[in-house]
Amino acid sequence: MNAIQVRDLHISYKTIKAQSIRKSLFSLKKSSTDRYEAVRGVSFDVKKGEIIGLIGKNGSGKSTLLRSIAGIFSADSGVIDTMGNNVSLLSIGVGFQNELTGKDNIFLSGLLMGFSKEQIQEKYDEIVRFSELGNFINAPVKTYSSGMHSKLAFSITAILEADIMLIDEVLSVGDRKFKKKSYAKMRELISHEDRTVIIVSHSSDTIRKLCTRVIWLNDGKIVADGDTASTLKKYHEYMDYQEALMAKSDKAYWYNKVKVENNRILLYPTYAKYCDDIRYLCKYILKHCPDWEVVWVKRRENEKIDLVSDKLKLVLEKTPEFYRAIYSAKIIVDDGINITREDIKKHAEQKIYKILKGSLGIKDIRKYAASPRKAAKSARMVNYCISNSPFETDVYRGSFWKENDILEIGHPRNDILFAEEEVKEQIRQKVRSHYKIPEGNKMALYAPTYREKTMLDHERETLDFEMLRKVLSERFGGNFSIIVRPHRKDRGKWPEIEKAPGVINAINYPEIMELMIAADVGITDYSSWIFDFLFLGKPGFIYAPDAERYQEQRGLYYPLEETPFSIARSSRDLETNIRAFQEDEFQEKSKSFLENKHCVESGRSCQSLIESFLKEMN
Amino acid sequence: MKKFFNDLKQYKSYMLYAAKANLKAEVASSYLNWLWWILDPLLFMLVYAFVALIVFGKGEPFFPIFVFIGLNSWTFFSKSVNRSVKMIRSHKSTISKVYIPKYVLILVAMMENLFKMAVAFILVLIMMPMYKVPLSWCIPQIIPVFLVMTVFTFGCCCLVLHAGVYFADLSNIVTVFLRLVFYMSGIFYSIPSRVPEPYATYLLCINPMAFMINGLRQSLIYSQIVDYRILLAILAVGVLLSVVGVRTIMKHENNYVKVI
Repeated sequence: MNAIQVRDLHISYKTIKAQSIRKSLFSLKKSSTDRYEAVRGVSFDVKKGEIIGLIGKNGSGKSTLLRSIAGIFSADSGVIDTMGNNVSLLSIGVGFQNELTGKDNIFLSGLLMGFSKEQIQEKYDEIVRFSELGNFINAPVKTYSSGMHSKLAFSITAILEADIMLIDEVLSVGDRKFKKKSYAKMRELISHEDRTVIIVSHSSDTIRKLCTRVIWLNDGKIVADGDTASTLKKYHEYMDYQEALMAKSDKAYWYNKVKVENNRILLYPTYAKYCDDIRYLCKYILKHCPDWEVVWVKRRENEKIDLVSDKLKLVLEKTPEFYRAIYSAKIIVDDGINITREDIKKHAEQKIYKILKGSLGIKDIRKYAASPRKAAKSARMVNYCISNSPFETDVYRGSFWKENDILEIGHPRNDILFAEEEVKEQIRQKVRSHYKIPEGNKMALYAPTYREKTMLDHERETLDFEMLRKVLSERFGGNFSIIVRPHRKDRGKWPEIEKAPGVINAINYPEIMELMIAADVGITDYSSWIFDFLFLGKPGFIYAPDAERYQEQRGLYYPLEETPFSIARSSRDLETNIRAFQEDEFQEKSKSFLENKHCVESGRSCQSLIESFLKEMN
Repeated sequence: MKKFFNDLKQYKSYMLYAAKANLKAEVASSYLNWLWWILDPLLFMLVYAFVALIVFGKGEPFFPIFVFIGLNSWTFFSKSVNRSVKMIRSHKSTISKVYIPKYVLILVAMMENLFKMAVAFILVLIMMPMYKVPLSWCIPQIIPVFLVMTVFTFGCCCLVLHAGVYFADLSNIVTVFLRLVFYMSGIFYSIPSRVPEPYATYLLCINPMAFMINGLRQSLIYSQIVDYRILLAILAVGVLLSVVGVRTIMKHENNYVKVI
């Protein structure tokens, strides 16, 4: 049974301030009515016996709502039905007539609350006793201290038990003894099963202890209405956020405010679409560690994360939530040189894991650092670097991570390359249907790295897709579709690939790993994926028209000739190389290449990482 | 209007208790207690007696009783109206905590003033034999006159209460206006005998208080019959003011708290 029904309630204050007659005579237009809508379309039902907590920041309309339920404010529109129950509003500075005695005020308040004189007379002694006022009860209220004032007010409402009690911020009145007593009394009162109570309080403690349901008002609207724990939690998060907005860029504030949460893990990728290691790690954690809290840092507002599950919490970089997360995560994983920036001063118990994308990549990673000095500084905060080979370990050592611990456990993204054949087949079908590649067609993946504009032009002028398809068909049989995946920075700079027949632009495909698995042949220039491609045992070619220049400008760890791949400097070269491809020789070379680099990839990288996390968490 | 009478019933005990408590508080806070309710008009009577008899040398027969009647009824009217202007502001703490029909507050004030006037009129009744005022069957006429005066006062109070919420300085204007009406109501002089015709008739017809005070004197002192046509007309005006006033208050009363 409902005790209170509120339907689409609107209450506004017309700030027609009381004004002087002169003003209203001389200002011809109707008095400047600034309407302030305190309550905007609120609806809820309160069942008999419910104890509702009304929360919200200052000025959110709580008191207005309470007063309108008490019948003091009129609604602009909407309905409040209190079903004929008598309502009492208990709030600070209760309405006493100061010249009258406490006794008279007890009777007057009681009469206004709808009790008869006899009923009040009956309870009178109890009220006086509870209020602890003694003989002061016969003195005018104006002689009371503010504590006595509120004690009396509380006692009246508490002893004259109304059907509906509206309590506005008065659960802490009087001295400590009285506070305790009033709190106990309030508990007793509101626990009566027929009594309906609405409490406005800023004390979450009070709300948590007393209320069965919580309604959260913000700017005159209901934001949440539900059980106490979950609504309070939402409210607190919001309030923290509000507080945070003020301390937005204050790193020290956040550093000092938050504590490290043992099972919180922060994933901090360079760029959402090209962060395969972190993406695969994330999937693995979500699947295998359900009680961890995973926070994913977005570096741009509009970044789309297709992993989103409700367990994954997204935060935008450099927002308060971000700072809260980065200082409270036990584990931080990033995948770039200076992602967890040098000016983040982490707590000692926080652990940073770094997974560089390089793998067996040939390019000198030092060139990626915008500021080598800052990179070196941030590198000192890193606890573990993830490597897949002594070669990569040397890359770490030779650049910024000279003294960090290095875990040679392989790259999370490469686990998929060691997956069961059925899994790979599913991925193949997925790519095939995504790009509507005709059944029976084979796929070649061409994914060059990023170059200065001139180099790109050069490459794209010389590569002849028609020739490529033809020669691939001749050498490997079947029809070939060519999946071109330009570097993300080259977006839109290569319109021709859209037009060439049998060529697909895969710049938007989320995971190059899946393209690699789907492809039958791989072609690149210096991009590191081709080395991971070796694990799949499929033919690969290097097509690098600008090799000399690139080597000169960019720096390579080892000469291109050391790779198992044939090197083409022009379309013609590539054609020749493909025709001359010897399967056995290539497999032999690639085996010895991987052995030479002592590569440890085995498909268990994620698992090993989690084991390391767990060790840190304990 | 139905709500109005329901409220009267519902808040009857509140009004009685509040009026009583206020009177008690007033008594408790002064030395001479309730004597002031008599002393106050008595002293003012002496002031006006001095002005009229000594300064202007123009008295009326049974002058003390004459002034007394005027003063008492005027005090009832002017105090009720004056309090109504500030009624909402002075009861802010109550009305922002609990709903109360605002005309109930007016009625409480009027009940207090009515009671004080009744006490003061006892003095009139005591003085009448002392001054050998001839008794007549006209005296009971004061009952309908008082009734009409009450209704008329209530109507004025309602309107003034509403306006007083929105105009902070209305009370100044009301004070001045009441003073003007005071002099036009013939409190310490007789309008029929001192004001030349046709102004005397105009004044009595236009100013209900003047007419009603004159009516009381006619009943108590001069053994004359009151002009019931005009009294009825004033009643009609009083009822009209009350209806309009109560309606206005009902419509706006829950906005008062927002304004003050």
